[in-house]
Amino acid sequence: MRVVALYRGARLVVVNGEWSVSGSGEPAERLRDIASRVDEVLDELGPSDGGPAHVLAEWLREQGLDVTTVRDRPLPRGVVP
Amino acid sequence: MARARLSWLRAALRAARDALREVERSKRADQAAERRRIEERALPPIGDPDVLRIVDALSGLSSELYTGRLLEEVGPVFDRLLRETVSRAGFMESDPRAQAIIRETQGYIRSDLFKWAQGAMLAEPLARDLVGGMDTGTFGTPLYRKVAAKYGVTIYDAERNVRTTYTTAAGSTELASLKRSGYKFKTWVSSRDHRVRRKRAGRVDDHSSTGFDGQTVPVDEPFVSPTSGARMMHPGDRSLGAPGVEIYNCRCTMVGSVTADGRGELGDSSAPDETGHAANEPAPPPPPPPVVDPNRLDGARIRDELEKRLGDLDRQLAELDAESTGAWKELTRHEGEGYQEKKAAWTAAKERAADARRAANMTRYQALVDLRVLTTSKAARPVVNVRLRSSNPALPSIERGLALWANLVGDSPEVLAAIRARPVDLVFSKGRRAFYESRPDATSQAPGGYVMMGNGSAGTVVHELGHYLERVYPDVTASSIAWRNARTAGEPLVKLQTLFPGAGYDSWEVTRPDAFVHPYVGKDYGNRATEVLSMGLQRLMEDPLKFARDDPGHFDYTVSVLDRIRNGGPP
Repeated sequence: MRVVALYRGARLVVVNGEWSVSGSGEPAERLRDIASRVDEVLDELGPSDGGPAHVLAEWLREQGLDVTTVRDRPLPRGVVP
Repeated sequence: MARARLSWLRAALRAARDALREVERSKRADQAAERRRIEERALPPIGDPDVLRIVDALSGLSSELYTGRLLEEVGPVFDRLLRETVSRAGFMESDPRAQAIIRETQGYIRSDLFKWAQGAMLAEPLARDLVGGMDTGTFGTPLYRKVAAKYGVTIYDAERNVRTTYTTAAGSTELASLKRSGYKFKTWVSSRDHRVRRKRAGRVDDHSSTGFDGQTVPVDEPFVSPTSGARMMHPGDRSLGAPGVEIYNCRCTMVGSVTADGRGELGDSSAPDETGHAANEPAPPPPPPPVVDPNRLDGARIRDELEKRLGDLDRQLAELDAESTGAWKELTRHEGEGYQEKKAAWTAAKERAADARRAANMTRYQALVDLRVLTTSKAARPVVNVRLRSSNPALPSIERGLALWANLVGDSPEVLAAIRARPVDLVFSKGRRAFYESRPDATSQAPGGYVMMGNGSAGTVVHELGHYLERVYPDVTASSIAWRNARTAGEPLVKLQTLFPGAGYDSWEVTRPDAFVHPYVGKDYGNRATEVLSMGLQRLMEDPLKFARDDPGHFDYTVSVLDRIRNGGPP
């Protein structure tokens, strides 16, 4: 999975559940606070909730971030999610 | 020279024993307080929520000494011993050669001691660091870096120590689970692959079939290595003095059995009990036949009981969750002024809600055990392969999910036979959507295959292994399809993408939403699978009362399937 979100010049990148924030000042601090809940959001997801990156992106949008990249790994053929 | 140094070190350690004991005594008072703190912040338990916590396992290692204080406390003792030895060898104290010998030998000893202290890293201080890591959400590489920096070791050593410590903890917890489940014997099981340590030249650690693997002993007695003589209560146990060579990088586990040959399982009617009678033989005098079989599960009765037991709990949880959500909204709505105060308020509210949720999970679990929805069997647990490192932070929740699933299945002979014929692998890839893929082949009818764990939550494990159950029981799949079709008769198929745009569903995922707890329950896979059982089991484990209130029909059907799996008969 890969999600990239922006907030007033600061950037949050989440790759396979690991996040990092670049930028400085209050926007970066706010992004870090939001990012600290990424695990929480991902942990609450079940297989019935869809793609983790997409669900996380929706949540980040709800937090007021500008989401620029959303990518989930496709399911292999024939599996039961 | 190396052998002489080793002799020196041994002699010196013997002589310094009193000083070392004094160090240990002085720490004891602090340890009690530290232990309480660790227990309060203990890692999520593996297995039953109320079995030994990880810290109990770690505290078995507390006799080791702190790395930093070792040289500081015992250094003067070594200096005195050195001076006496040099003097006995005929050197005058003022002789520069004597000073050189003392200086060089001090260097050797300090170096050896430092290495010894590095080996002693698997100790209570490390336990505190790991618990502290959990406390602050530090896992994986950042945690290894922290440990490596603190102990002055390489990140590889730190990673190995952290991983090994978790293995020790898991072994101890498993032992406690076996005892609580009533097992009389335990059997050592290695990973049984080419990486298992075997007896070879110059080494005595052997965890293969000629060593520990397959050994069955009474549950209260240690396994004894036939090659090294090391005694261990469980894989990773050092409490009886097993050397590090038996511990480090160990991937072994153990299983419970009720007979000394390691074959019986709890509930196995052919296994003799302590009197030598098979469990299914009537004991004199024969007990009167029960009017209602207490092992049969009745959905309506369970729903009523859950309402009585958990009604208040759910209300309290909802209030705390609302408080936490409100504090978060306040924080994100009014950034800038008073931000730090609002952040502190949110953090406090979040912790209160999380504490309450942990306590609620325990209460729910106990209620499900009391109502016999969950058994206390772990029979199926050890034969599912968890393909991830023991230091993986997702392991506790995966282990918990696995234990819950094993407790749901109980001693189902069909499931045990299927898993033994072809194991199921659990693999983990963070951030990936979970799924189950069976791998049928010509050698066996058993479905086998693997489960991609997704986020590794306990609910996900139960969900995906629910799909596995459908493969083991084709009649359950057929009845689930019939039940779903009856509920959704006349409804059109809808794409999940249409219902939840932007949620990342694939285009082939279609459902009939009905009034299920989630539209996903009505998903249509043709005749190969359903989501009825998986979603039902997941909801049953995550929040049984909410499930019972939201969809009593689905709740009752899920319970009836469990009854069929455990007790036979139609679902």
